[in-house]
Amino acid sequence: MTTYILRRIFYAIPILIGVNLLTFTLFFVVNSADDIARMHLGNKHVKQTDIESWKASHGYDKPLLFNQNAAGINSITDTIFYQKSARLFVFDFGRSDLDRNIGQDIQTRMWPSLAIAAPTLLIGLATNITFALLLTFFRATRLDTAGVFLCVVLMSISGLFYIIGGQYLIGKIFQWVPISGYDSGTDALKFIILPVLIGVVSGIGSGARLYRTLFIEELGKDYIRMARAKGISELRVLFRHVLKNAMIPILTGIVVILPMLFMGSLLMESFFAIPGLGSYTIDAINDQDFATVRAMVFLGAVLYIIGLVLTDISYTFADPRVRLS
Amino acid sequence: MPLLDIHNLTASFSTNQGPVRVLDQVSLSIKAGETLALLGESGCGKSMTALAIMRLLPDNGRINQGKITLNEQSLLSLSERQMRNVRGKRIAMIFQEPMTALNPVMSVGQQIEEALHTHTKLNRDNRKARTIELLTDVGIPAPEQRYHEYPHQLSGGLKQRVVIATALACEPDLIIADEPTTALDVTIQAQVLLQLKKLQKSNHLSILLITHDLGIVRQIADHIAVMYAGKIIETATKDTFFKQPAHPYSQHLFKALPDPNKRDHALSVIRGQVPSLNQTFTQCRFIDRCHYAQQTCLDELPPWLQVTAEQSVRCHRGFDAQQDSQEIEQHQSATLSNAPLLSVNNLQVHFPIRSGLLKKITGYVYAVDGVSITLHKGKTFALVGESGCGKTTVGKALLQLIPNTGGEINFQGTNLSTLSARQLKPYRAAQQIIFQDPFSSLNPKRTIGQTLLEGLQAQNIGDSPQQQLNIATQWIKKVGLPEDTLQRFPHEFSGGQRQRVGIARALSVNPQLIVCDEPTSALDVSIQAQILNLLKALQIELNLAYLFISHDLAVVSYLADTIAVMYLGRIVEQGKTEDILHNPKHPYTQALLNAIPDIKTGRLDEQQVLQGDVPSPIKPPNGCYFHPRCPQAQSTCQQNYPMKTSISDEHLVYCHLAI
Amino acid sequence: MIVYWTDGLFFILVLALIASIISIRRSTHLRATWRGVFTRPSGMTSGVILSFFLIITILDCIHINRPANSSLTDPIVSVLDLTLTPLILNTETTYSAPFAIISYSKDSITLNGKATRDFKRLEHAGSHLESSQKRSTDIIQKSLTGITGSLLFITILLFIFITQFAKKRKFTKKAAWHVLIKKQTEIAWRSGWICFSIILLTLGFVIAIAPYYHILGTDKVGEDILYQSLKSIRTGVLIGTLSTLFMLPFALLLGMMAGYFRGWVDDVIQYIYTTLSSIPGVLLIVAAILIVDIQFADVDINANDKADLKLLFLCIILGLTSWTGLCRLLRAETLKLRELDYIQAAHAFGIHHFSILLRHIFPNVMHLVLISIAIDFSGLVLAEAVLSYIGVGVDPTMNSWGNMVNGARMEMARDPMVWWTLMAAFFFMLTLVLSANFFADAIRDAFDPKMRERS
Repeated sequence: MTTYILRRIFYAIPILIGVNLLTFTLFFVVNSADDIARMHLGNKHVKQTDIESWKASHGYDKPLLFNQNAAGINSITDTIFYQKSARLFVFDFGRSDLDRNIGQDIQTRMWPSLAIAAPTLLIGLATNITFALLLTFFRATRLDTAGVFLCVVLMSISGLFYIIGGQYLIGKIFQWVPISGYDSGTDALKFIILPVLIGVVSGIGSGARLYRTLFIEELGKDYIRMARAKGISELRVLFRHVLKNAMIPILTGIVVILPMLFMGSLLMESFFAIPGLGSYTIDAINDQDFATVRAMVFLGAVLYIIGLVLTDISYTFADPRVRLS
Repeated sequence: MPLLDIHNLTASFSTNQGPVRVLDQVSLSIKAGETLALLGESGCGKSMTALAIMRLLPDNGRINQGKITLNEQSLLSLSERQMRNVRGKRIAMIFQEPMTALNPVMSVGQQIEEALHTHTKLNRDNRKARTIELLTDVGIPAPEQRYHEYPHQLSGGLKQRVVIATALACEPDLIIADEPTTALDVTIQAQVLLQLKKLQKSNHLSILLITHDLGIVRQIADHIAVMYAGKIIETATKDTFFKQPAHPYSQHLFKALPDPNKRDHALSVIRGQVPSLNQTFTQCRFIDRCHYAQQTCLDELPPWLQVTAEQSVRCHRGFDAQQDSQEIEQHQSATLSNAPLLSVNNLQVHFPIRSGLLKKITGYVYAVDGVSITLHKGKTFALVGESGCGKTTVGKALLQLIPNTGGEINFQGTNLSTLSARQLKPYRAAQQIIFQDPFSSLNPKRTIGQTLLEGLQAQNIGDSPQQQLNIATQWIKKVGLPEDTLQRFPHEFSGGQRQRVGIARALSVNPQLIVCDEPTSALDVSIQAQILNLLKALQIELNLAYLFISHDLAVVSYLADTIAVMYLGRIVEQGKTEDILHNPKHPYTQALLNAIPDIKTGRLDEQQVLQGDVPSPIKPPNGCYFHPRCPQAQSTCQQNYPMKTSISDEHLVYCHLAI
Repeated sequence: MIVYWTDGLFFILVLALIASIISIRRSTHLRATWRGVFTRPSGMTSGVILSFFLIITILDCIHINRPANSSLTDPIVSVLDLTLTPLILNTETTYSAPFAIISYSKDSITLNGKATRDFKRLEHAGSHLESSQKRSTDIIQKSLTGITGSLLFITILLFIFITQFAKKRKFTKKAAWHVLIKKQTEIAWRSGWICFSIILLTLGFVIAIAPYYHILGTDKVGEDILYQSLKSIRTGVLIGTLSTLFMLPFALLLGMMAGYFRGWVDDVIQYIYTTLSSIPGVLLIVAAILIVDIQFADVDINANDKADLKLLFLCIILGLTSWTGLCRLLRAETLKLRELDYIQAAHAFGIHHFSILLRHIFPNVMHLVLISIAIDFSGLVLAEAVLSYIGVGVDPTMNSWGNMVNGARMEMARDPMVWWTLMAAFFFMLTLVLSANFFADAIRDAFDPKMRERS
């Protein structure tokens, strides 16, 4: 197991290098540092000296890949690539274009994101599985047809409307919870309920429909017929045989997004004014803060790769056929 | 009083093409301790009968009418809950495909205990004890260890034993075995059948055996019911049936079987196909394929006639069906030229196993490890062996579809493996292949015409598109298909017809050698006979050489001039067909021959039944590869691979015992 | 005629669509499969709705110089604009509710020389009415006229259809009618006709009312919401289709090559798509769009061209970031296909790799491509709304449902609430996405290899 994880980390390095090169190309080759500076200083009629001083103060005044003026190792390290991109590998995110410490921001802001995303995932998973099992149990009846139709309708509604509708109904009409905001500690609960609820409801459509398809597919397998021939009850067939086998594809979809929970949801957090990483990213986008966006891209890729490893590990628990070596 | 009595059972499926009546007034009965074999081709309703008895028809199927009585209790009037107490406890089932019948995420023990948990009041410890006892009963070695293992850790034969153990768990009165050995290799099939027979005796079981294989029927059945297109068309005791089958269909089944004694004759052929079942029959459903059809067959449904106390048949003719006296022409073997068409010398195909970061080669699969073959024009060379022995790899390597690791493939004096793709192209036409699976061998998105023309164009045969079309038409007719076939798509044809298309495709580029890779193993017996006859006729007419690859010695013995038996990538014995069949020297050849159920005697020599499974070709055993399974193994067998021993000019064997 | 980039690409797509319909009609095999899509009522209904959206998109993609006699102000207008001229011209000063004839908020008006604050009558809605009491009767009257007109039109079309149908099947007209009503046709004609009739009835209603009232109200600057919603169709459909156009070459070529050639080709392609897909999709899109924005900041072109180019780049970016899924799928399928016997048979004929890819692999992965295009379409339409909300979607001057929601969201807190913009965007998006989803389902059911295997 340990050797497996070590090897996966080793595999991840070329991918992260790829991600890094890609973002580097996007942000520094397609765009010159001058472009960024002009962006922040206001588009029109900026003096070249202002640009130079902005670049100097934000560390964009160095050459891209190779510094001819510096000696020895510094010719490599004293460049934009090394300072801005390569240091992401040691999770040194540096300072944002608005001069904030990105690493520190991420550390404080990931907790609210997690507080919303984790319960959404867990409750959503339970709801979807329950709903899908119900539809599977009543398969090929009108209840099933109606349920599947409802699922398609639910998944055809844009996430924006779930949020707006939820805020309007729960927050404004019933006034059960505050429409937006956040607080620390246990007080956060009343701010969390609504986003979680909306997150769960908006996921039912696609989730339950997918799981139902997985369950129905399992039901057609030979071993289900054999299980029934043993005389066991339909509920036992569903829970012991179908659910257990369908857990393997379900896990594939779930585990890979687990680490991404830290990143939070862009939409949800900005609508509910939750100070998480999602709204952090949105703010960065609106402020055209490239350093932060770049850091988030890199962080996302790292978390995704961690997700892949976790998925493989979770297989060993769900599927006896899988051995990691 | 019979244990199980089925009376006028009718079941149907609702499909897009309307209702399909899969069972039409089926009546059967089985006495306690007796084995009834339900015999028929695929799609005739055998498995549906089994599922109907269990009341486990798929969601779109339903029982329309009829009665099923088990020990005087009507099964169809039970509630679903009561029915569950029948399933597994009084009637148990063994499924065809052991690879998929076991739940991959539950351990062997859990799956067997599930039945015990549902039907008995045993506590946890007793359940485990009973499960291990069951595993021992069905002949699984090291049952305590197997108890904790998962299905993927077991071989096919062991899995099927687990399925049997599950069926036996609650001591049922009746076991329904649905083609229990079809998915297994022939030596494993013999093990499983033997076990089943023993268990029947010790547990006083009744068995409803569903099969298409007359040999298996001969071995373990007491009574026989023949099913055709959803209807029982004949019932008889085993002895009567094998002495004088009454229904024309049953008679044909016997005649269609390939057999070395029929070598110089064409096999009797059941023409045509099983009728589709989404219609209401007003005439005999076998009429289109029957040689004896007469006016009454067309006008009325055939009656159920009792021929003797032991035999009944659904046919207007009753039992005066005379032997079909079709004259079968004999043929002389084509004259042979002395220079071999193909000679393969020490062919090796090793597949590297890569692992690790840099994909380092950590081992090899020795799929083919030193095979030599000589093949003459107009002759058939057969390669026989169980799945995984490398016989298909040999075929593909000959055609350079897989590169060979070592050895020479000399086709008319040219070593093919040294040629580049461009140089190889003219030789492609001379060697063609016919595949096992008629469904995957044709591109579903291209018409038959496009498929045939592709080869003609690639090989520049025919001067103009029109001429190429004529050539394609000519071959399609030659394999017995109508001319309009060319415009149609593969899905419009049955398995047998597609196999004919596959043959036409191979022939269209005028090959001299055709590799036939199990061309009939996916087909029913009646269709198999059609294809074998076609292959034989074409060989005589076109002076073709065949490399015939098969696991079925009976099929091979009908066609082959020379037989080579393969085991783990090597030929263990090779000789003329008569020598191999009547004077086998290698213990493996002897076991293979013994494992073929003999239709005449039904006897199975228990001494000769092989134990264990084929070892992995990644790590072949030391010494003789066969020694771990060999009943006659000696100490030298464990140390050295045996040298070649010549019994006669053409009869070679690799065995220490043959010296 | 003026052809914007997106117009041109869309026309290429439409031409490809027409070409494939012709080739499908020629091949019995494909025709049978496609019939399967339309045998399902859901497939037929959604197909009809999608064609309606498609027609509007096509109308909105034909851009011309403003005709001299038109009262529109933009120098370049689409055919749809010309059709909707009254809606464009009937611009109020600010919000007004659906069917309202007075404005949404009080204004200071001078009445009999005295300045008071009251609801002002709208300039273009119900201005022909003498008093506001007559509004309901007027609406009912006008809608009845419109619906009667549609009914007449439907009857004529239905009559023609029945005549043709009867002629083809050699039925009497009565029998043909009976078969249609009883739903005994293989193709779900009845469902199609019901849906088609509903669309026509709605159209008749809208045509009769829209010049006199704002059916869906107006927005902050008084623009008609119905007009905005209809104009947004083009944006949604273009994003859903053009992105696929940019995604396909990558997914198809790379996916098939990786699966077919294996070895180092496979390694390189796998590396590329693993790298791309490890970056969270939204962030990659956002980053790419921000870059494009900057590049655009200095470009000096007129607003229409700029909005069009931004839409084009949005499609390209969405395409470039979404090919990995299909590519992975095609690679896996090709890996399976290349081992099949008919490919081996082609090798045995000595056929070139390129021909094998084209003739044997490509037609057999086509169903996967089709299913995935159909499924992706609705996802892309939904993505546009979210991206526009985040501020990285289409140009703010362009009509799109995302921009509509974005604008209306600010007014949530108002009392009484301005709900109609949201509802209009919601309704139009739901209709498009829902029919796309149902159509994708019907396609998947008809093309699903599992269902058709060995049939």
